[in-house]
Amino acid sequence: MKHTAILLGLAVAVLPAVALAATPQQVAAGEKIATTKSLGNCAACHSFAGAVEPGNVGPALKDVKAMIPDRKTFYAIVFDEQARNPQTVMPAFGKNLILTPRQINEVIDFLYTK
Amino acid sequence: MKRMALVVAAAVLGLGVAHAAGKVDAARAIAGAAAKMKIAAALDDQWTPAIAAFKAAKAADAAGDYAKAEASAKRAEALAAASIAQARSQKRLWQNAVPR
Amino acid sequence: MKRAWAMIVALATLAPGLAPPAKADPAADLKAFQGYFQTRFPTLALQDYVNGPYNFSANDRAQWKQILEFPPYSFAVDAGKTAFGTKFPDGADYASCFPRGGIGIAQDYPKFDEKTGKVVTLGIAVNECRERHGLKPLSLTKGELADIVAYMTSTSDGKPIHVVIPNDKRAIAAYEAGKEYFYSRRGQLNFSCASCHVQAAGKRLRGQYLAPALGITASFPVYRSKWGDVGTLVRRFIGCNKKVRSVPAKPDSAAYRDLAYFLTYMSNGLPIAGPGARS
Repeated sequence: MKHTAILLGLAVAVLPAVALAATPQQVAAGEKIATTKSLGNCAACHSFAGAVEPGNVGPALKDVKAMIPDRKTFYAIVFDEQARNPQTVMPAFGKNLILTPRQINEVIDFLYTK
Repeated sequence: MKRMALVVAAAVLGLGVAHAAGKVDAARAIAGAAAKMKIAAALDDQWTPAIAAFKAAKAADAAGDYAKAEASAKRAEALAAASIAQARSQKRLWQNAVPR
Repeated sequence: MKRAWAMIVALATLAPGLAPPAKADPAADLKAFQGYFQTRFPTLALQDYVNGPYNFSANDRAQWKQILEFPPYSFAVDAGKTAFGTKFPDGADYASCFPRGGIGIAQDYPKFDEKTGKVVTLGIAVNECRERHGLKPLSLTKGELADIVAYMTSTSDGKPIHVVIPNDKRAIAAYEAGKEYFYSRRGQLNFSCASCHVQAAGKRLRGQYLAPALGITASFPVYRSKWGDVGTLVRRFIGCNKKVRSVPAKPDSAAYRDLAYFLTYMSNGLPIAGPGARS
């Protein structure tokens, strides 16, 4: 019993260093952002499972973990893809204050389930 | 009892000072946003969310919610600053999009 | 140090965005612009571009054709014809303000006005006519003016678009300003007109196909199902600006006049197909 508690404590302590699994709440928040016009509206340009009438301006978001394995890179893409790719039409969701850092992370949590 | 009254008095005074400071901070933030937005407008690149945030700041200020007024005004200023950066960089970058 | 500077200068000259702007050459721009689309969509003929988004989906095209059996803009054309034929209080009429009585001239607009040094769209010309005869100008976006322009445009159906950029410094400056506006990103969403209507043309934004910029002006004024009535090109400019979260310009602003000038010129040679219908 005592051992489990210690192990649990250890696990919590090292968790941030490993990858924190997203909570269902975070994933649900991300889904709302990805599909709502006044928020991220990812579905306007990208198709992903569950998107209603998605666009095809940007690439389909499928097997996203394989597509963008590095979360930091993913964050950079959503924050300001133009910094990486000057001719992209993707809005700079972070730089232009469309989404907060927390919202961007929730979108990433959601898309990593796709 | 006397002590209690003193504490209350001090608390009220403190609140009053904080309130006055909040009002000043909100006014300063609103002025800062207005100045930046004037530049954005002159560059023909005002963003609608900057206008919305500025309106929210003015409304909160009028209602005496100075913390909200300050936060909204700071958002309006940040949006205006981003639009100014966009307009200035586009002055040269637009040519990269022309088919040749 | 000297060497470093020389390298910076060399790099700056190489980078296309930093190169000094080339001398204005509208004819060369037109060729490159139309060529770009013809390379991207080799199966489309030039005149097909006036069908805009309906080039890209057989389903949407069939629905559109069905709508055109009873054109939703016909009320506007009829109302516009009546308004156009009504005499002003001073006894003059619209026909007196235009070459060839205003019939079959829409393909020549926007025009550069040498007297004022400004670009004049057909809608603005209608308002100038009214003001010359003591009447108040109408809204440039919808209503009576859109009806009148729809009627006038219907008398140009099929005529090749023929926008002229005279060899006048002011006309060339207006054209260049319109070109810069078209390619400049704006608004919180950071889109230019070209982001959607050049780069992403033919792709879908949600369920809607994005119309190529080539031929896009040919169907204006348009009846849009979304609007429920007929609107002018400037109404669409305002809508696009708002959509990218940018404060729109004024309907009669130099920005929109010049944008219409550049954009319509890019479709020179394509047939007028307005008024049109869009979803």
